[in-house]
Amino acid sequence: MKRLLKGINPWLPVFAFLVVFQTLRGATVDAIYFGFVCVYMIADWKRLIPGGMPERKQVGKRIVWLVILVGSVVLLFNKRNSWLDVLVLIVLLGFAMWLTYYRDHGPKPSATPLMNRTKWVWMSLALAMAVSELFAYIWANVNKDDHSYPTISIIMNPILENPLGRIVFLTCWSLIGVGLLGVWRKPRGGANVDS
Amino acid sequence: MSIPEIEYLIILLAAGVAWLLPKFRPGALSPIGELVERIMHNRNTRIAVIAVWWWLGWHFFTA
Repeated sequence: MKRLLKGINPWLPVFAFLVVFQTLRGATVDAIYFGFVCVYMIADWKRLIPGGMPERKQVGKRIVWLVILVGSVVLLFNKRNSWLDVLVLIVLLGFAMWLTYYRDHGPKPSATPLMNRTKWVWMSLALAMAVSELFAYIWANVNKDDHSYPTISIIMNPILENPLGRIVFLTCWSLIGVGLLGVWRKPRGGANVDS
Repeated sequence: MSIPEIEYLIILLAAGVAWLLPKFRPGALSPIGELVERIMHNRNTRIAVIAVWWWLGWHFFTA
């Protein structure tokens, strides 16, 4: 068993749980998406992705700006849930996954106490948000009252129907994505990437 | 304001404090950028984090 699970992505059980959870709540598309992520993680773990493991991609700022601009225009001016929204989001997923798929370079340097503290603070906040959301979802379903127990989606829906709200959300979401992908981050000991 | 809304607000405010604190007291917490750089070091975590980030966009834009 230990040999079989060697090198498993530790996030795989979490995403497998999400597949079950989304299936139980009737969100079929979300369940399919998390199932796809599980398959992708398994393919990566078992080295089934053809083409070998590439080095980290260097993407110019202009390309990133262009992708954000085109994506934002479509997501902003189209009716929510239109086929074009879906298409753009799927293309963005492919682009983001392509950017994250690169060779790891050695183990992480050990964390300082300051970094450990920072990690625990942010993990606690993320967990608190997830638990609050989960309990709101459960209470809303048990009491058949999503007004007294609103999930984040219930709160966000009217905001996203408003163009200004959509601009704010889109900006935050795009910036978080760029920050997570680290496409503009200066490589250690190197110059910043610029096209 | 409902109980979940109060909870979300408290968590968002705490996140704002955690984000701004390193600018004023560098010894209290590391900047969020350094934490992100660290957690994105491993491909396993990179895939998981980006998958969740994308799903949030999907969830809200195609709701």
